[in-house]
Amino acid sequence: MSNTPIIEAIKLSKQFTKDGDFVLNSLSLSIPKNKFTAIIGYSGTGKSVFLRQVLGLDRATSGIVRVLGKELHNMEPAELNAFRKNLGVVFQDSALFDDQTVLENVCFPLKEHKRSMSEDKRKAIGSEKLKLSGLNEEHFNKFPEALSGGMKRRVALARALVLEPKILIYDEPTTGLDPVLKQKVDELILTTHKRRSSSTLVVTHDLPSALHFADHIVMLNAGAVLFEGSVSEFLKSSDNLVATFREQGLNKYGKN
Amino acid sequence: MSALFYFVFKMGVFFKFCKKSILNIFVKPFRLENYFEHFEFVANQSLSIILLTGIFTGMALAHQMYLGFIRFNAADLVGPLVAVGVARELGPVLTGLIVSARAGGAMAARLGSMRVTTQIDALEVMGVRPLHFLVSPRVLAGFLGLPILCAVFDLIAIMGAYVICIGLLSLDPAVFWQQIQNIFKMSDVYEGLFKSFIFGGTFSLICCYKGYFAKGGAKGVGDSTNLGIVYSMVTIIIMDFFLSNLIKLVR
Repeated sequence: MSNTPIIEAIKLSKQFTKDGDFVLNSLSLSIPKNKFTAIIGYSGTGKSVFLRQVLGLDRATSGIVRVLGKELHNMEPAELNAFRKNLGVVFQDSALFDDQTVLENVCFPLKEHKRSMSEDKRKAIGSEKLKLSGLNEEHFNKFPEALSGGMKRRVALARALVLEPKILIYDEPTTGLDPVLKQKVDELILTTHKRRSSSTLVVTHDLPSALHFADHIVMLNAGAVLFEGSVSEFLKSSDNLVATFREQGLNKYGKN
Repeated sequence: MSALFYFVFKMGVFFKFCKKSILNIFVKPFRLENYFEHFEFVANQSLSIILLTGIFTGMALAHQMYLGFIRFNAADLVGPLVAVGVARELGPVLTGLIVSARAGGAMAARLGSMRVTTQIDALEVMGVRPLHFLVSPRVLAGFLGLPILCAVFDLIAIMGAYVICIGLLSLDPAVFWQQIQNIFKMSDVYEGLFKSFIFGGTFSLICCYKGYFAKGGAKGVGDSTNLGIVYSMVTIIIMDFFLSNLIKLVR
């Protein structure tokens, strides 16, 4: 059953205004289970808009998106909130709550979804996830503003993992980081995926990172799927746009 | 026509937001810690500014009324008329304006910055309803906090009037209190408290709405905060007129 898609989009279209362009244009794709999938493409190709459909933050103009076999937009609010425990999301700018400490941020999903759990237990789980994400105990009581960009990503990852989600989703996880931090975060993402051995989806325009950790590549262009396949197929693809993106992406980061 | 349609559409969105935010106050889970935090912010942290403005309002009003009433030898009426005016009009309106600028502005700015930094999206994907978690406690704090502040404002303004009347204008303190007892009624207080209850909900809903739907980065947060405060203030003043007339009709 490993081929069952965890996320499936069927003819998904999105228009922000009635006469505007289609940001997603009849997009159809399948994200396989227990794989590391990277959705790549130039800026403005609909990656983030697609991700918002997957997370149920936005409604498509037409088409269907299923997550773990369920259509999020057909769910009752209470059912949707409970279902969202299956998704762990690391946002582009970490989206940490700035009025909570690092540990409180990580324990927050537990506090909301496991209300009967004792505070000590919550803190123990939160601390464990933070340590697994590579953050030392000395930072646990700091507020997010006192952390560097890389540390914030680690906290966001720990928070995303705390409910043991079935799908871990990263939105541009290395954007804005320097090359050293970028490499560290890349390694952390890969290690986390291997340790969890479950489904991971990353949305990025950083091709070397995507090639480093992904098993499955989906390239979007103009709101539709331009390429979908394995990394080796991506590297061999003779499609002009894929080849150009590949060349530019790899040259930009000095890899080959 | 399209501008009218847009206005009606936006009002529809706003009233839907208000309905959901108010109904969510009564929906479990009740995060008491969260409610107390916002109540403390709206009521307790506004107390010093309310005391300060209240006493000076009472003093200024007493002085002006004295200058008017002394012309037809009715200076004894300064105390009760300050009390009635403050309890029915100035108390709720000024408290509403001051608190909407202080607490409402902070609400809009806070929610706006949470929106543009995707913290509200993060809450939603964690399965926490943002309206329930962020907006409803603030709205409840507005509804409950403002009447308390208004009562404090009324009391301190009357004290301010007393200080001026007795200390500066040499009126008789016994006559001051006696006239208040004769003319001032508890229904004046209730009218003011009812208005401030409505104004508390109004400013918190408007400011939360503007902040919740902020967009466009730092500029967007600034704009939504600004609009939240301006709309709240204008709405409070307009509503005051209609509420006064409505209460008069009901009486």
